[in-house]
Amino acid sequence: MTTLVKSKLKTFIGGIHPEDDGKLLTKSKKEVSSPLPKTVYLFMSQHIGAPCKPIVKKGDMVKKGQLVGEAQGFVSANVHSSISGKVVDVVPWQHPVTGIKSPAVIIERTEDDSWIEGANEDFDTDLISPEEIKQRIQSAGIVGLGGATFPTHVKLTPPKDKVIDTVVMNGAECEPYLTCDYWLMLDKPHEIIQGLKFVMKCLGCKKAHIGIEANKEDVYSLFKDILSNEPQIKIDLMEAKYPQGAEHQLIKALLNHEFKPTQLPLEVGAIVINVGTAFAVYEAVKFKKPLIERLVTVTGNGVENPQNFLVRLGTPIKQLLEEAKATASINKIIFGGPMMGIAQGNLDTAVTVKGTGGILVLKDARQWQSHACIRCGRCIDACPYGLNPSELSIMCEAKEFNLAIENNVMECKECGCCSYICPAKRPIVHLIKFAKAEIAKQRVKA
Amino acid sequence: MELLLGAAITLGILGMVFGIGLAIASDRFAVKVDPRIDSINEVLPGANCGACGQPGCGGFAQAVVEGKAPVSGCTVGQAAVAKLVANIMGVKFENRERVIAVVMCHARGVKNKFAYNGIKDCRAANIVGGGFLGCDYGCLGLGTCVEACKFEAMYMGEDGLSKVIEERCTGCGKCAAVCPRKLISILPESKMVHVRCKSLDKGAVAKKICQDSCIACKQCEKICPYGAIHVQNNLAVTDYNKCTSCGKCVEVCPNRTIINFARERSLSRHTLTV
Repeated sequence: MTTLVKSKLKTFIGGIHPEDDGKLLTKSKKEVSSPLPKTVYLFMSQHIGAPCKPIVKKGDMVKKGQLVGEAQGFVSANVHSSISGKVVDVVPWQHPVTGIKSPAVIIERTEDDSWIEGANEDFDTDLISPEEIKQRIQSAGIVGLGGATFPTHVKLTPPKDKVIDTVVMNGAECEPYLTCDYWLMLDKPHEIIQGLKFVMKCLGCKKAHIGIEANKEDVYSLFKDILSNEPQIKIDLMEAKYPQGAEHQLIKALLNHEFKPTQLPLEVGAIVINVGTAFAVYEAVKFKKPLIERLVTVTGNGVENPQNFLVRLGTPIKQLLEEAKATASINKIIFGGPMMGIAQGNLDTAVTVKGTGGILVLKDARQWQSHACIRCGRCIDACPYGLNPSELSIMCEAKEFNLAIENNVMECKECGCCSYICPAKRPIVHLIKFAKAEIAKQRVKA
Repeated sequence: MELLLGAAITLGILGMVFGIGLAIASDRFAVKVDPRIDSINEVLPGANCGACGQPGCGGFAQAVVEGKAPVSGCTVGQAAVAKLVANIMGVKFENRERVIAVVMCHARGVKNKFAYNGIKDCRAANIVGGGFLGCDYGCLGLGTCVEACKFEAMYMGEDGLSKVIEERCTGCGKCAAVCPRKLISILPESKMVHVRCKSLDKGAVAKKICQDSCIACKQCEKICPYGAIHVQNNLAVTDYNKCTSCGKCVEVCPNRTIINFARERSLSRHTLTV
C-alpha cells in the first residue's frame, strides 16, 4: 500500500506510490540497443491537434528524416520517415492509443539507412534567434514526449498578454516501471540542459527549474555538478510519488503555485517540458534532426530481458517483444506506464507512436471483480486534483452526466490514483472516461 | 349566546369580504389555458419518452396547440393517437406509416479481439481499444439499447445480439441514439428487406471476421430492378425510397447478409406466442 510518511522533500497533496515501483527491472541495464525495424507504420495523428496530410503515395522512395506527413494548421506536428525505404501503402490502421482506424503511411526498409540531405548536420547555434529556434522545433515535428504529445511549438507561442518567466523541466518520471527518462538524463545531461536553454532563449525566460524524484539521486547529483555555476537553473529533489510529473503537481512542488485543473501552466507564468522533449529540442535545433526515434522502456515480468531501446517511430511492438524476449504466457500489454497507459488489444497492429515511453508486458495481470463503493474515502485522499472520485464514479455509473459536470468531472485528468487505491476495485477512471466521452458527444450535438 | 352570535357575524363578514376579493382576483389575474392542451394530454401515451423532441407528453401537447409540432408528431402513439390529436385540433389527419427499429447487424462467428473486463455498457466498451469485438462495426452485445428502451421492446438474444419485439416497438429511436456503432435504423414497417451489416472492411477481410458480413460482391446491385441498392465503401446500402421489398437481392446474396423480414417476422411472432 502507499507510504504515508511525511517527508521534507518538495511535493503536492494527494497521490500514491506503490511499494514496488518496478523501476529496478530496467534501472541497472546499462546498454541501450536500437533495433532497426523492417517495416514502420507512421500514423498521421501522433499528437494533439489536427492530423497531418500524407504527402507521399504508394511506391514513393523516402529517405530517413524525409517529411511524410505535413502538419495541417498551427496545432499540429509534422511526421517524418524514421527509415529509408519504399512506401508500401497509405491505409487506415488501428491506432494504439485511440483504438480507431486512422491513416498511416507504411514504409518498408531498404538496405541503406542514410539521412536525407540537410538533416543531421552540425550547426553553429551560438547566435541563433528565438524565431529560428521555434521554426526548427516546428519543422522537426516535436511534441511533448512525456506522453501528452502536445505540439511543442504551440507551447512556445504563449498568448501576447501572458508573461512566461520560468521554464519547468520535468525529470520526475513518476509512472512506475518506466526508466526511459532516467536513462536519458544519465546518458545525455549536457544535451538536455542545452535543449532547456534553447527553450529558455525561445521564450526569453531568465529562470528555469528542474524537478527530479528522490528515487533518482544519482541523476540529481550529476545535474547538480553540471549546473554548479549556472545560478539561473535551479534543481530540486522531489518526493517519489505519482503523479509528481503532472504539470499541476510539478509546479505546486517546485514553484508553490496553484492553478485550476482546467487552466494551463501559463496562467502562473510557467511552461513545463519533459526531459525527453528537451533532448529532442536540442537535436532539432543543433542538428536540424527531425523527431524519428525515442527511448522506450520495454519492461514487466512478461519479458526475460527488460531494457530501454532506442526505437524508431512506428516500430511494430512484435519486434520489440522479440528483442526483449517476451515469455509465451503474457496476458496484458500496456503502452505507457501502468497508471495512465493504454492496454493493447491487438499485437499484430500495435506500433509505437511519438508518445510511447514504455511498453509494459505482464504475464499475471489480474482480472478484478468490482464491487459497490464502500465509502472509505481513500480515493478522495489520493486525488491530486481535490475531486471526489467516489461520488463521480457513482454518478457516471448511473449515467447522470449533468450531475457529474456540476461536480467537476471535466477537471479529472484520468491519472488513475483513485482506481489504484480503491479497495472495491471500482473502474473509476473508466467510468469517468466514459462520462467525458458522452458529454463531449452531447456538446458536439448541441 | 351573544358571544357566539358576535363571532359568527364577524366571521361571516370576513368570509364575504375575502370571497369577493378572491372572485375579483381570479377573474382579473386568470391564466388562460387552452382546453385543448389538457384534452391532447389525455390521449397521449404518457410515457414521457421525449421521442417527439419535446420535453415529455405535456410539452408535446402544448407544442401542438402552439403550432410548433405536427399533430402526428407522437412517434409512440402512431396513427391512432395522431387521429385523436387531429380531431381535437380540428385539422385533417394524414396517415403516417408506423415505424420500427431494425438492428443492422447479424453477426455470426465473430471472435473477440481481447478479453474485456470493464463497464457493461456498449458506449464505455467502445472507447477501450476501439471495442473488444473482432469486427469494428458489429454489435457489441452489452445491451445498452435494451436498457434505453422504455417500452420493453428489446431483449438480448442468445446469440449475443439485441433483438426488437416489433409488436411493442414504437419507433421512438432511443435505442438508435445510444448505440455507439449506429447499428439501429428506424424504418417504416413495410420495408422488409435489409442489409444487416455495417462493415466497411474490404470483402476478403470482412468475410474472415464474420460469416454474415457484406463482402461487397455487387450481386444485389446487379439484380435490383429498381436501382435501390448500391455498394458504397465496401458495403451494400439500400435506398429505402426506391426499395419495394421485392426480395430479389435476398436470393442472390451469397453470404446471407441481406434478409427478408417477412419470413423472420412470422417466425418471431410464432416464438413469442410460445
